[in-house]
Amino acid sequence: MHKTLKSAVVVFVGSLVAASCATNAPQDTWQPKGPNAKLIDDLQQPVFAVAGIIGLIVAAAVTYTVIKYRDRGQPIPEQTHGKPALEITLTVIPALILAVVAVFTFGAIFKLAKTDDTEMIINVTGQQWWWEYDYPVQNEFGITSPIISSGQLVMPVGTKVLLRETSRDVIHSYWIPALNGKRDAVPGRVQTLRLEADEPGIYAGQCTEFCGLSHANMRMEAVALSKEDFAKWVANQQAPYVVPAKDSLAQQGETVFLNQCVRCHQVNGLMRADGTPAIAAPDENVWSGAAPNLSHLMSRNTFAGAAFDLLSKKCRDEVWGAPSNVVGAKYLAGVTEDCLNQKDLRAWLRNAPEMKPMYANPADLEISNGKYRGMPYLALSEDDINKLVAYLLTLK
Amino acid sequence: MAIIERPAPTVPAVVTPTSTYGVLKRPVSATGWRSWVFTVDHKKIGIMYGATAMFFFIVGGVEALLIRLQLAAPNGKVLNADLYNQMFTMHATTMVFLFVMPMAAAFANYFVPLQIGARDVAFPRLNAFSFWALLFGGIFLNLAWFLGGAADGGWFMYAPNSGPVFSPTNGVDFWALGLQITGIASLAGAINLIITVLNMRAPGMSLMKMPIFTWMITVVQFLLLFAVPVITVALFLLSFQRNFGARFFDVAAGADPLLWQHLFWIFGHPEVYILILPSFGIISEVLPVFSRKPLFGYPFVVFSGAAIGFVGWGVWAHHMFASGLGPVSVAVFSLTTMAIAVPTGVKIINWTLTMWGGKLWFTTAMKFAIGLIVLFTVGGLSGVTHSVAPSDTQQTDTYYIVAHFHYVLFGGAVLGIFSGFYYWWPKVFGKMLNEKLGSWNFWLMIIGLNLTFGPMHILGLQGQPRRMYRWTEARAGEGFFNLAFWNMIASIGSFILTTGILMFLINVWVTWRNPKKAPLDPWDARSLEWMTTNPPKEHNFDVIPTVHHLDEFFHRKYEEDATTHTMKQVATAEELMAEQERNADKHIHMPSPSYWPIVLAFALPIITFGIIYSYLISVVGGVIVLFAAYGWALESSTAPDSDFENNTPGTALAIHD
Amino acid sequence: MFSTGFKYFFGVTVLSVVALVMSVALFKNLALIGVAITFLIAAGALLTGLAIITSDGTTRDANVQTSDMTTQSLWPLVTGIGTVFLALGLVTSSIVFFGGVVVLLAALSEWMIQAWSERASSDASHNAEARKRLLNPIEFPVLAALGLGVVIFAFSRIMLTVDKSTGAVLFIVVGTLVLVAGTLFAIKPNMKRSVGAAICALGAIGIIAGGVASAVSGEREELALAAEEGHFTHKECGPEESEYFDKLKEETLSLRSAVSATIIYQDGELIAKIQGLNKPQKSITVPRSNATNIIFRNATEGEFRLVVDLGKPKTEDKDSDHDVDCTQLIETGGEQSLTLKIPKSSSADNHYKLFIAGAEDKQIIVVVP
Repeated sequence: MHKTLKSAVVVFVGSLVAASCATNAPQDTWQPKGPNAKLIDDLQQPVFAVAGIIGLIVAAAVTYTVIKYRDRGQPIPEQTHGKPALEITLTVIPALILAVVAVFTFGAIFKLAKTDDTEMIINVTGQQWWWEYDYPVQNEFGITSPIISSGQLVMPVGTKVLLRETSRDVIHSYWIPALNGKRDAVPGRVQTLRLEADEPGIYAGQCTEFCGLSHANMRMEAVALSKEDFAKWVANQQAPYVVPAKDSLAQQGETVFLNQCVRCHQVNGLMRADGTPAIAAPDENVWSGAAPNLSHLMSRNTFAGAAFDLLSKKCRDEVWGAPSNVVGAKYLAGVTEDCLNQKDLRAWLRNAPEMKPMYANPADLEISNGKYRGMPYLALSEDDINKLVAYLLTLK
Repeated sequence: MAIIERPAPTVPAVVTPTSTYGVLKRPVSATGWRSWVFTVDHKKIGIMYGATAMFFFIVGGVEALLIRLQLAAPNGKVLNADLYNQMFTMHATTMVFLFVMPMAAAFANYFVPLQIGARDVAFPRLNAFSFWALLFGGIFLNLAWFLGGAADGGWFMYAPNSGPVFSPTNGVDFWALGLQITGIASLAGAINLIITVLNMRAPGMSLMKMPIFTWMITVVQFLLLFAVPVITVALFLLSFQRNFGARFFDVAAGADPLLWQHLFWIFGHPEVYILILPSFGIISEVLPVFSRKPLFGYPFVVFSGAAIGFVGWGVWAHHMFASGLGPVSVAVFSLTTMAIAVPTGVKIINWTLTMWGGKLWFTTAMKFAIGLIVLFTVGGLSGVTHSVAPSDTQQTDTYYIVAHFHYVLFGGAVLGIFSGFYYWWPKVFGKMLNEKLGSWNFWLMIIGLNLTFGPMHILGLQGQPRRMYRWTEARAGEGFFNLAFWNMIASIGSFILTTGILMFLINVWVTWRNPKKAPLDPWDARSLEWMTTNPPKEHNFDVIPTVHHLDEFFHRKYEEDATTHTMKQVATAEELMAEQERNADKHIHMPSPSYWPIVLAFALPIITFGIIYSYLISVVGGVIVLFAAYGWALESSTAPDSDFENNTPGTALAIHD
Repeated sequence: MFSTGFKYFFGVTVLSVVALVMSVALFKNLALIGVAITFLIAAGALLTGLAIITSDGTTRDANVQTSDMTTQSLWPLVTGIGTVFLALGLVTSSIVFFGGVVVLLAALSEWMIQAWSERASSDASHNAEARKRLLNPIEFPVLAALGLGVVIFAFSRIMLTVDKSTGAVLFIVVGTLVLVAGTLFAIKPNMKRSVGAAICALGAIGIIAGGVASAVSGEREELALAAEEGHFTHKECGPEESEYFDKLKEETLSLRSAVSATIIYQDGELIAKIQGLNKPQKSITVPRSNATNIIFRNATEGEFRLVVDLGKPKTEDKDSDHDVDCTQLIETGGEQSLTLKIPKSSSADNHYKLFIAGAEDKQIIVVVP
């Protein structure tokens, strides 16, 4: 084959592959949005190209051989058993290519494992089937008391963030493709993963270690905010609890919450009628010993392990589609009553296990000492659900 | 050894062996179902292995189709989450342990003794036991479907998700114990074949004159011999954790769940080579035959196979690049993974060069072999991209990996197996398969498999993880070629692939009803298994051949012209056969059938059943094992004269012309 | 075909199976009855098998000219020994009794088969062969299991007696010796039998003698201590040395990959080093309900203990004592790990802290969000 023809084939196939991909796939591994993912991308691009070219060469060689030496009545060929010199050459060439690849791979492995220039740490704890984030006290970011959140990881842009991952039950894996490769969250271990985003934006991810029934519904999103926006977010997270207005629907909702939800879900600052703080006891009701902390719930865009949107479709598209200079402001606006995804939230309160399969059937719980895995069916009345939704909307 | 002469009459006439050792007569039927159930003939056992594997191939295929139906559209409703998790667990388990491994065992059982000029394997009863243990183990594994649900932790069964709290049905118990039984089968088979190959080769056949298929099978048996004990240990830990309250993977008791991953993949990676090397062996037989040339660089292919066998032990942690091993371990395993690509590449180069300068005959077997070269290369190259550990942390546990190993296992192992079907069918059944239907079979499979697994590369690289019972449009991207499109294409492809496989079954059915008798040497073949009748006689060869060449059969048919270096035919297969029959050995002693292998194998699932439900059942199984083993130990390899109708000592026992 | 003996023993076996089924149905707690009947079934089954295989010990031809030469037999002696053990066991301990039962059963079976095989035919070599065929399938596995059991038991005694580093060396030495012996056997397949036997015997004697000597001298000190005092049941978290708790200090740690923070007592101050944060911290965050490991390292002269205050177990109960957990007294340069699992989040009136025993001002706040 001619050289030009060959390169034409490469270009053609390459563009064919590129054209046949989805545009703007949220978890695309070829669109790095931060230095760690960029490092990986710079490594994988040439490797894939080389692999593709070798594949084409093999395919071309086989095709050529098959066409040229098909049976056209030629005599039975000489029974040669091989040419060692040729063999050795053809063994050494791939070995050399791989040696070059190895050098660059090594460099990238050690660069990605670097943690000593970390600027911020966030503890990430996985459990069936959601992620918990807690921000230890870090005064330089205005975090003067610990912040706890779930579903969406909020982080400042241009900051070297170190995730310290662990798990409360089975192995999960934390993966935001636009920011870095994945790292398993293994129970009993603390493992680290560095994230850094170049631009403000929302980056999608998904648990990638099979973790049981609702593995498919265990998602996460990383929200990168500009440093100013992040400071605002931190301030909001540390804002004290706002008691709902007297005699409002929301206040009735608070009572329902205290009767039902607080068994597992903590809302920081929430007081019982007798003036004692309401401390949730998920360790008595849930196998993993934790349930999402719902303080400032409406500052997040998703719920139930990021499986469902808290924002209605229209408002969600507005946030996700916003250019990077305004996405922070849109995100910080939180979920207002107009933008609330009432349908999913109500369906969830009505019967959670139906929306997201969980081990919530009391008959199945003998083996786990009566503890649920996930949120059970609570038999709430429509009236209670109305009150609860009104109350949850106050958790700005 | 296999050929144990019937006891010569040194025993005093007053006491026959029967009256000394017991009352049971040996089964001796040569026809009917008894001739299969109690057989120790390696060829019959090989056919039974093949039929069993084919059955489980269909089971695993149906599971795969259900998976693809579920994933064809977002938020699939075909299966619920629980059933889906069982489905992908059992699909992988079935395809790996109950289809590819037994199918390789089928080929190995049938052809290794024939290729090395032996009359049977070293331990014929152990061979029968291996098969029955595999069959009963496979049935036991699948019984879970009807008893509360199959295993749902993935075939890798990572701890602690496999623990009793996280997987409360008995599925994982059935899985772990069923794999123990098939593991026993694999180990017994491995020991048997290794000893057969090392001790029972025909005179003159040095190791470097051994057919390449037998070589690859030998490497595989050594891999099995060392890999199966590892998974056995792991499965014991798992069973003890689930059934006896042990805490090997319980973090609260100070355990580290990564222990399971290491144990599993130290088995699991050599397992990959256990699956692929037999097919490498098959096409290394097929390509030379249909290229009319010896395998290019035979010693390189042999040693690269052996090298894969060794290096295959040092790469397991590349399945764990995201587990948090630390950069040093990751770098080391990255390097070894790249290193193993070299011997694999050597094979691809050698196959291509085998065809180079040949006289290619595109039979269906040859087409499948060529298909393997190309498609396995695709899988091999995507494998190399995984060795780049940082890039692997993006791709691991996504559909890109699914695409990779399906190109390796379907494009590699399965195409090799189909090549073997078409190549050896006339040898095994004495009938030709239809080449036209074969062509349909081949092309539909190739199109189907590329449509099914090709798009998975894109799905994975664009971020769709594996093992999700449903996917959402929110993560599917935009544009015509979004992930929804590719999921749909993959599902459509899987049905085309199924049609291709159905073509094979139709081919078998059609040629069975309306057979075309196979000529003695339909492919002008090269190795010893073709130097006997189709199908071979029970004792394989009338005369044990003396070997002078690699490709002995070819060199008996052709001689090189000293001046022009062209090959000219000096004998036909028929002439060689007639010569053998003229000089047939007069005293051939074949091992006799036995009841004990199937009885002993049947006791194994009884024991494991008891571990799950009631120990009393296990005791019953244990007693059966004890008695069957005792009966086995007591009977001699060859039945006493009185068990035969023609009971004159010293005559050939089992020649049925 | 079915001899009288077979029918008899078969009947016994079937009846005992029926008895077992009935007792399973009737009695909740099987205990002794179950064991007794199971033994009866096993014995019945064994005798049934032997009866059918040897056709009650008869041969087909009644006129068999049996050989006059009876072989030497060990079994009368062993039977005698078994009986003695049986009797001794009745007055001493049940282990001796059961040992006697096993020896007696084994000896009687061997004796029975030997006696039968000597009359099986007039050909002595065929008779020997017949005996082997019947008994080797039982003898070999049992002897192998016994041999392995003895080796494992003796070797484990040795390893429990010698101290840890000697144990490692010993392991290497024994491994090397086994390898050398194996190599020797492999390269010299025609070696004299006596030489091979001598090597094996030497090895066996060495290991058994070592095992006996070790069993007599008892386990090494820390194991003996651990066996006699569960020191965790006497956990004392004060500044003074605890009689039990501080006895067995473990200061080698292998769980670095699983550590959330390292707590260091240095220059009179308690600081926390957290992976990813370069500056020493005065508070650590521990996820709720999740076992979290920390390491305490003492970098100050003297012995100190790290205590964790886990608050009141029930927040409502104002008077209850705080839950505490602690490390042992750690000498200078020593380290110990501590696992925290705190189910309730910390709040204004329920907070947790780490401190040095006896110096509560040296503390680190534990935040449970």
